Amino acid sequence: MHRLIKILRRFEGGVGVLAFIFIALGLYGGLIASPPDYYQGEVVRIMYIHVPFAKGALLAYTTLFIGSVFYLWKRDPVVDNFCHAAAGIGVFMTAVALLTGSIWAKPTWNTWWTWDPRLVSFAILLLILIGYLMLRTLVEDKQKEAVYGAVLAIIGFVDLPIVYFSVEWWRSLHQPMSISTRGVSIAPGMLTPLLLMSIGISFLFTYMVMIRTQMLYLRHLLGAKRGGLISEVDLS
Amino acid sequence: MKLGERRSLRHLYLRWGVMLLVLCLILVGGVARYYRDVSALSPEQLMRQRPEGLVRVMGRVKAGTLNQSHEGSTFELTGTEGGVTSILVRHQGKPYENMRALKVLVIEGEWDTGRMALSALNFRPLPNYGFVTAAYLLSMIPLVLFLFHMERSILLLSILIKEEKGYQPLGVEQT
Repeated sequence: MHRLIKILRRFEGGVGVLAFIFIALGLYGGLIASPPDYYQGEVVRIMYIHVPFAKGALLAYTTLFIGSVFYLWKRDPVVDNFCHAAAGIGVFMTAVALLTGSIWAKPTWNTWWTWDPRLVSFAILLLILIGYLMLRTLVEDKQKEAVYGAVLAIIGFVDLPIVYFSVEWWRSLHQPMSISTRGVSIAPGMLTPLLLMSIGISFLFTYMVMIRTQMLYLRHLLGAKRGGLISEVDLS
Repeated sequence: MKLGERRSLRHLYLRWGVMLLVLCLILVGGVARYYRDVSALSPEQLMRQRPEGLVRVMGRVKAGTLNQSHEGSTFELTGTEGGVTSILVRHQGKPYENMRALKVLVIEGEWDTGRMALSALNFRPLPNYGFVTAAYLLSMIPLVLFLFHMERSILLLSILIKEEKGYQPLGVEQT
């Protein structure tokens, strides 16, 4: 078995348990223990799910970028499985962040969508990730598929700083960063569940990547056993 | 399917059962909190039910009924969608900043059935919990299904790989 798969199998249980504990505590804090906002009322509770998933989406793309650089260097098919897994989970997290943001925007901004720099750059991130997955289904040669995907992921990384700093660079309807070098502009009663959920979703992302990488690896392994390209899979 | 594989599948379903149970408990806590601290009666429901003690009422300030003085304020509250039923609200002390004609308010106070008037004690945020419920359900249900699908796939793929005897070139039929 590949060394990376062995490592993933060894640590997946612990990471999963940590994700579950942090998310359960975060959900309790966000839905039950934390106070409503003076202006937004109960709608502020969407923040405890929207912000962590948005951070998870950025983490997913950063993982995809680092994995793609590593793949182009080492050409290890399991690293490619890892990148493929990160992209799939990135699509899920980006879509959830956009959806929950839209639900929050309706009562707050009185619209489901607005052409705001943060929203547009985040939607572009989703399109890049979907494009990455589509590209991988279009190319038949497995090695070319992985190389093209890695190159697209590296080029698409330019969108990440735009997403992150869009609220600073342009006049935006979206609120600025609550936690930055300028300090923390959020009440302690709301900060605790937000941090718990953010840590929980980061662990969840790690767990999901671990699981999905194994799933993709096993799919290739089964394909190889059934007579696919055996040279692309480490059967040792 | 071998005994070990059956055990692995049973372990997966058991683990997911426990996780769903904990998530359901948090959901039940959220719903209980909604009914305890958030949900509000309309003026029509208040007149019909005539509850004792502390109540929470949501309604719109009727235009032309607001009287403010140094001692306090009085106004009439109607349903948010209009309607003919209105209740008298009395508030002592500094006026609340949203206490204006046609504004929707959630008022916590003591209902006096004899005088048919509400003594306002607190003004609460609007109970827009529907958006919160939608956001959590639309993110948590796909997440749980996605995770379960991946974990189950790993187990099933492992079983299929073990059952696969050896290399068979594609397109060659076994006899």
